[in-house]
Amino acid sequence: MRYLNISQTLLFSLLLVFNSCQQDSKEKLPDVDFKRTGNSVVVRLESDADRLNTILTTTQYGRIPSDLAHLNLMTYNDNYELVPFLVKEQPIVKDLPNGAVSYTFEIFDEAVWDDGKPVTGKDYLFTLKTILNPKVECSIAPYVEEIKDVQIDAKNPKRFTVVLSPKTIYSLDFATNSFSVLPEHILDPKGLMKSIPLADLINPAKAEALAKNPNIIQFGELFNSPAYSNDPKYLVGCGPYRIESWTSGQKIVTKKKKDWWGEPLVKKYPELASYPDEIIFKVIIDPAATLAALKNEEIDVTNRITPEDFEAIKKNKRVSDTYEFYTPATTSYFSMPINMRNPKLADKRVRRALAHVVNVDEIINELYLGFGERVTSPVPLASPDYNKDLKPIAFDIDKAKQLLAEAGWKDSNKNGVVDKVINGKNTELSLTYLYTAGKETSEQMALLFQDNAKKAGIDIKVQAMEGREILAHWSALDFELLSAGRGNPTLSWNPEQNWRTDEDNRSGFGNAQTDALIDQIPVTFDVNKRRAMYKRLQAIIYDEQPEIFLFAPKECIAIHKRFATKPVSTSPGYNPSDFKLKN
Amino acid sequence: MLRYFLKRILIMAPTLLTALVFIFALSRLVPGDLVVEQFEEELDESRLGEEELLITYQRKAARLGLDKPVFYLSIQPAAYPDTLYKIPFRSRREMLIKLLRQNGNWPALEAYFTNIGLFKRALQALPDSIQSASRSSLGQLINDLQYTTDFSVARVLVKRSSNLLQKDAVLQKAVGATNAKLNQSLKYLIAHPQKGKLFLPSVVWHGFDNQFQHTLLGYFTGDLGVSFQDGRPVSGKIGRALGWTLLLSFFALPIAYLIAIFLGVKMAVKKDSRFDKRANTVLFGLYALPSFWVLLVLLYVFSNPDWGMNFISITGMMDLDENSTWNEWLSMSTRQLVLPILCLIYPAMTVLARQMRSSMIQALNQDFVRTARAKGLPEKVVIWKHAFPNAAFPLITFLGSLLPDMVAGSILVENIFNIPGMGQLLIDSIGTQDWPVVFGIIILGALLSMVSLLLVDLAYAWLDPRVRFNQDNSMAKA
Repeated sequence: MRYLNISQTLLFSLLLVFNSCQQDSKEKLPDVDFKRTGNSVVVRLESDADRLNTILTTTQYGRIPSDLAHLNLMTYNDNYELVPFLVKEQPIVKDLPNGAVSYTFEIFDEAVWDDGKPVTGKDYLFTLKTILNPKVECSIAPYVEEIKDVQIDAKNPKRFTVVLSPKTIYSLDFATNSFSVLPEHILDPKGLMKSIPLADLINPAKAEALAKNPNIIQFGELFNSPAYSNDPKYLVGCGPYRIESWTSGQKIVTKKKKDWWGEPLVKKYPELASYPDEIIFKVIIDPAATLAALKNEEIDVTNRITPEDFEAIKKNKRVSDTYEFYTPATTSYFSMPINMRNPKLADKRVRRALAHVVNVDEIINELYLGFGERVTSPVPLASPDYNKDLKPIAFDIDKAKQLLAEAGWKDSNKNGVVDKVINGKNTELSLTYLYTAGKETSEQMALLFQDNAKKAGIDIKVQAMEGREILAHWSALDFELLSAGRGNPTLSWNPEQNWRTDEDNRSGFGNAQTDALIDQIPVTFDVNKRRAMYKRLQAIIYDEQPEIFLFAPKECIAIHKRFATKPVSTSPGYNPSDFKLKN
Repeated sequence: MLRYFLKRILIMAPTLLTALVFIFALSRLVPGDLVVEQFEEELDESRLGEEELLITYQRKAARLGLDKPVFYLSIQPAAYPDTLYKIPFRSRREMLIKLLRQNGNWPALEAYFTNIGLFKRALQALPDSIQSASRSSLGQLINDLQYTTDFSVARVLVKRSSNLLQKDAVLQKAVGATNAKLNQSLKYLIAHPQKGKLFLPSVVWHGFDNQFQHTLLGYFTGDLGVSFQDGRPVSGKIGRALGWTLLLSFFALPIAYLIAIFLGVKMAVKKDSRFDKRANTVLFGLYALPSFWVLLVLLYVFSNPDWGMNFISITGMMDLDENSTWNEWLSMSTRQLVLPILCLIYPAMTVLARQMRSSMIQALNQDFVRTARAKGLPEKVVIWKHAFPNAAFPLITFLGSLLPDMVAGSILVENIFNIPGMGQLLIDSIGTQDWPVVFGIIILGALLSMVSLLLVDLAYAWLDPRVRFNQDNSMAKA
């Protein structure tokens, strides 16, 4: 699985939706005279795609259309289990010495590229080598670094074994779901990558020599060229759709392949099902224009509708007659990270007092019109690993005052702000809170926080900043309190990146006990034991409050009523290939 | 005339250069680290070791051309090193500068910072079998130390690390020597400040292989770089979008002028009449309306099927392609572009009409107009042949600012009406931090302003020989 980088998390660019939706799709077509008919789905994209090359794209706007043309070895089903997608069955798993593991797969006999050539383990190996090519501008290399070897069966090239080390709970996902398989004979007709052994690509000692290898350089230039990212000739995959055209800034057209090889297998492998004849992605940036497009029935699906607009269009009879509305919770959450390194914030009672002065319910109800759900930890709310025993910290000014007093903060100079002697100096509890400039909800949230904190004797100075500037302060650990949004692309949560003491841990949380727990989680294969560990870690984080956990916003989606579909557990909350015309 | 034209072109060159320098400076003042923003996932600190991280950063910086000095020279305190730009990560560079400003001893600071890196690497290289509370604390501590800009805090952190190692024999054996070096280098740094050097200016010559020269040469050869987003040439992306924007302006500008001229002249001729007063009120009203609000109202009204007014289609233009007939192109374009063009026309028209009215009133009071009337010429001839040509000069002046204004105005219009022109490209590029495209559009905007002013100058010279004559005369005298 991929973990989000910070700017992506701030932008909430990857959202995950859990299976339960508030409104079930009705299977029957309502008695309404639709303007839009037919089996073509028009999806609104709020920004143009960056690239349509499945392993080079870094945005969901590129990923969603390109995913239609490609297949991973395995994919997640509705129960969030990895199931065969391009392979016949679950792999044969073998534990190897030194903590390694091997998975043996066999690709469907029927699986072919558009020109009829078979999809084989050689294509898998080629894709892996492409990702690891130091000259290819691919950002998913870190997710395949645990793959140490790929052995292709000499007699049956569709059968191959992937070796990973160390074996963790993520190993199968890394091997099967972190990238789609690309056609070697189309993308590397000269066989430039054939002569480069996988072992060299994963050996850091050979990195310098490889960077000078003419084949590596030539293939890197070829693969990075605009043609490999936007010319449909090079965007072919073995998936059910073909990318027909991309008009920059306007639309991307994908069409279902006639007699696609996977169609006869759908009964046995339901994940291979795809219904629309055509899926067109149209770029509409402006929210007002999106609403107009909904009213005019020009699109079939859009997400990212603001709560205000969502409430308004639900009341519009024409729109509500034509569209079904969904508000699934996302795996993103808003929080206020605290810099625990700051002597004023080193005491957990001060951090908990701060949590008590944030009126989260008011923020959800007044600023987000109820489209949010309170969270108490960084784990996605819908994950079975989420610790439901942790109760949200209540808005309670008196409790905040009490905690501050216990921590030794008193208003000794009667100026309305509590103070305390720290390192021999009388220090007032005055903190700077950074929030994103230009966002009304962010500003209102900051002012609300400031007002309530004042009642508890805490002086909050609010400072509006451009998003990237906040990021710079955050990563340089130059902050006291700030507003942030974080997200997970999947339901599973890997605490290593942000919560281990020697990693990108910006609040300064943790100790040897939490580090040991974080290290143990990926190698604990017993689900119940692992779940207990996740919950214990969340309880510690909750107790320490290195971040004030606020709420998970809900996604607001409108889908045309002539289609039956259900939200899926991948971004952006729906799967356009799953839109089935109602009877 | 040709001489005059060439002279104007020559004058434009330094203006253009100044604009390019300014735009380049702006592009380098964008907050954040461009390398990190573009390759955030590849520079993931939690997955890469310290050494690998630095190498990856340098490789990515080289790919973007950001591994070179920014300009030919830099003027900085003598305490600053010549190679400051080579230090990976902007946040680390800024942190080092903060420390340097307090101490001034660069060689000692460099040694201290190198030792932090070595200590971090040594910790990362420890086998997984060594797991202890001290190792966790040391990891956290070294992270904090890397970003500490306060020497007293640094001293406390280093002391704490020594204490931790004293209690853990295994760790002491593994990283004790590195820690001792770090401790020593910090002590030396604090004990040997060279603050005097901070007050001495120094000029550092970086040579011609710098970011400014490469960017400028690119600008002059039409190479605006490649888009961070999709790797396509910026000039191609802007070229495609420019077509739509110019199409809007191509219609909007002449229509705005035509309406303004006829309205302004009529208002002047019927000065103080009921028509004049009403037209004035309407023009003032229109002028006062914020254009974004008008845009939204128009969109709301004319795309609203509830009112039976769904005249425009948000995605209509996207359905046109090479297979569409001329008829389809024409009918769709007419339907889709009327409102956006109207939105561009009305602000320009209100200004022009008011200007036309006042200059026409002035012209109608001139002696030559009275003479024309006394000669018994028909009123139409007096107005259009005698008064209007003299009153039209201020309208030419307006052309210089209206064309760039219209292109700027198209940012809102294109975004709201979903037209894939330069405005929409600009908004999208800002949102995705695609700076080469953003600055390409700004350059084009600057160029457009200059071309508009050139056109105004040429139009003046063409319509009024006195302008040409005065210029030629002054050149001859010189």
